Amino acid sequence: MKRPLTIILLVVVGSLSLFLLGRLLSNSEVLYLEPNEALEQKVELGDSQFLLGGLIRPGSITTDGDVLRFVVTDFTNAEILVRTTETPPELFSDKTGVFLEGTFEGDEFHATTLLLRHEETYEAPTEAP
Amino acid sequence: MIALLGDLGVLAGLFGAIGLLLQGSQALRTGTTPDMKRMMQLLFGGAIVSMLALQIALLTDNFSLSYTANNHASTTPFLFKISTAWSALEGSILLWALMLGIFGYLMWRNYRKAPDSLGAVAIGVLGLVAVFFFGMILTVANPFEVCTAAAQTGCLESSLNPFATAEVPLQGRGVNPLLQNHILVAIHPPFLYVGYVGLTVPFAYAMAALALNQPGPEWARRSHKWTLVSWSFLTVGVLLGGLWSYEVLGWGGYWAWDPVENASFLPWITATALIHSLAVQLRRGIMQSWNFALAISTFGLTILGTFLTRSGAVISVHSFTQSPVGPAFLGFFLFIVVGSMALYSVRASDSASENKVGSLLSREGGILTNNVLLTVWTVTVLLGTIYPIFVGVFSDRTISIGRAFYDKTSLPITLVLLLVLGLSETAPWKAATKATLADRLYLPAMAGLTTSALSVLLGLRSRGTILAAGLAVFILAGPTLRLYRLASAAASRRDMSLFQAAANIVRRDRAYWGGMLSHVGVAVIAVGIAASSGLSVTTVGLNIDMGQTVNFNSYELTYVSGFTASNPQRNEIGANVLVKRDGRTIGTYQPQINTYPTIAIPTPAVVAGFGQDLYLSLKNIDGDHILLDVHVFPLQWMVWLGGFVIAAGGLYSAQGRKARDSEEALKRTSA
Repeated sequence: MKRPLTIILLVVVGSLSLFLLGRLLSNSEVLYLEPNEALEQKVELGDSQFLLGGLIRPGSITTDGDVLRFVVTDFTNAEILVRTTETPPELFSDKTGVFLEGTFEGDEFHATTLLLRHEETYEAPTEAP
Repeated sequence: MIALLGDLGVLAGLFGAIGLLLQGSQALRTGTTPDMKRMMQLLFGGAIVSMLALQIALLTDNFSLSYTANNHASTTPFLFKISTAWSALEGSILLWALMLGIFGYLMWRNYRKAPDSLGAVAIGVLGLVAVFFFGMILTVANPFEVCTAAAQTGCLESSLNPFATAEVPLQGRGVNPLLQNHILVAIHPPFLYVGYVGLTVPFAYAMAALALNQPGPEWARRSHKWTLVSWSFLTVGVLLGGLWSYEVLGWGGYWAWDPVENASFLPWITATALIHSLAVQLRRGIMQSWNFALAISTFGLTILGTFLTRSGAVISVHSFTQSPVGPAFLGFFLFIVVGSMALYSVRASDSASENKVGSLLSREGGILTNNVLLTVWTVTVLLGTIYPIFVGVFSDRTISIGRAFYDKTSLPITLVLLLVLGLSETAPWKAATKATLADRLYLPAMAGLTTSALSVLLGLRSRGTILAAGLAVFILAGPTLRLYRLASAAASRRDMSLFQAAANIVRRDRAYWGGMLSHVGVAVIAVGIAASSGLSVTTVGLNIDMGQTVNFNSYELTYVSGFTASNPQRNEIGANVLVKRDGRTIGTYQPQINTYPTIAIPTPAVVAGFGQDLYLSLKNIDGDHILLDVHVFPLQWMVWLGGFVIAAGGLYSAQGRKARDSEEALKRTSA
């Protein structure tokens, strides 16, 4: 009978690939933090890479050559200054969120990728502009 | 008034769904074949009335409903007024219910012709699913809630009671700008939903066959066509989402392995496996137990996917409304999984096929291998998608899984998939002799190897592209050679032209040759994906002053002038960019930023070309200079063309299950 051998082989191959998949998964983990959490854990974070999600504070965008800076905030009003050479969504307002991947460098967050969050819900200004 | 009409439609639908469920369970207990006409009329008619009521409310700018007040404005262009009916949560659930009505009606039409308990129980299962959807529309996702407290624009409070006194706002909030920026996003959801909802049909027949303990080819025969059609629509739906992302969002891509994208892709992978293994069951009477499992998991994944997108359980750039609908979907998902798995395990011993796959060197051997690979792919993508939820539950960290995980795992899996596909697509059933395989595969394999070798000689260095190109030619050449040989033999035998002979062969066995057409699409899209990602060139933040010319890749870009345009619903600001390539003027393109009351959306200009796309995304415009993100995506068109060819092959294949004809043709072709 070949059967027991096949089963053993399948179990071995299966668990091996699951183990590899698990390793790859935990290696691909990117911590997601909002500004208040990021500030709280700043010391532990050190220079490790994480995903920062929040809202761009309107009017906070400044340019300095290729370097762009803006402030990312959240509902607790925690603020983090972000520096990036990626192009920012200049005309996006506080209604639009951003996801930034990068690391703390001193007090600044250095973002290497910048993604915009697009929402399904939408609110027009309650006061006419 | 309109709220009452809508609610009555939903009630009728719910009533019909409950009726079908009861009639189905009666059929299960007694083996009778009830007349399900009335209840199906209620279900389908109710869904139509509700959708019509919502459309009337939108087209007449009736802001007494909170749905219209919050998702619609009188300035919205006509087309997007119609699509607003599914652009927000409540309406999209109603669209789902309407699709269930359509598929239910089609199932009932087949049932009416030859009533049997399998058909009745399957319709009962669809009724059960419809009870959940209509129930949700009536309670937590009701698009007919009456606005009871209006803001200046939009609605603050609303009531489920259709007789509540309405406070009507003067103007609505308007549909989300992203959802009225391009026609693609208006048609992407219906396609996706036809695909999603259609996959209820194989699930319903599978459950019916298990419940009645009637394994055998019948449930598979009835499921196969619907699975093919739904799968084709799902293909187009996913593709349109990618195309929209590419044409509209301006981030320079079409697929990001975002959880919401994965949610639409997971049932696609399992449905791909299902259409192949159903064909094997119909042809060879094997893999039945596996087919039950696939039909159940495909349906389960559509529900799980909706839960993921609607619950906020995972971090996604696509943020859909979070509402009580999320937990409801999770509950329904668990109910489906527990219920169907229990039934499946009770019946498993009876449903296992008597025959086994004889030899791996056969068509079914290849399909079995690729079914395993597709399952591995599904598990991998699913793990990456839901892993963050488990981390969130068992620790206080919130995490996200980066693209790299999916790219790293998908590349080897898809390359092996393509290889096995090419090896087995022309192989005969049962068992192939080595001589037959060699005869059918030698030339295609040589063509593939030559392509890869040539691309290396021509200086291509992207490993994925080199392999994909070789495999694509291999996959293309197999069925082409087969068709050519069969056609030239038939042509000389019957004295007709080669083309005519080929057309006859294809028409006689649409099921098979439709599948081969899909494989051509797979070959094309594989090259498109590999080349557009592996060979792309990107520059972000390219600054161009007015009148200045900048070189990028083989292009010369000149910022000629700026422009602004004003529409009722949006303002447009953009740049006229003159594009030259190798000294020849290609034209003036207008990347722009569309500004809606609170949000601005860049709309890229795509200079589509045969060799490559030039993709211009305007990031900022400020009097005398513009800031552009510029990408070059080689062979991008192959992604879109390949995808549509895959779907077209599926639809063509779905016509071809007129049993006897194709059986004979298959005998002839595999002889």
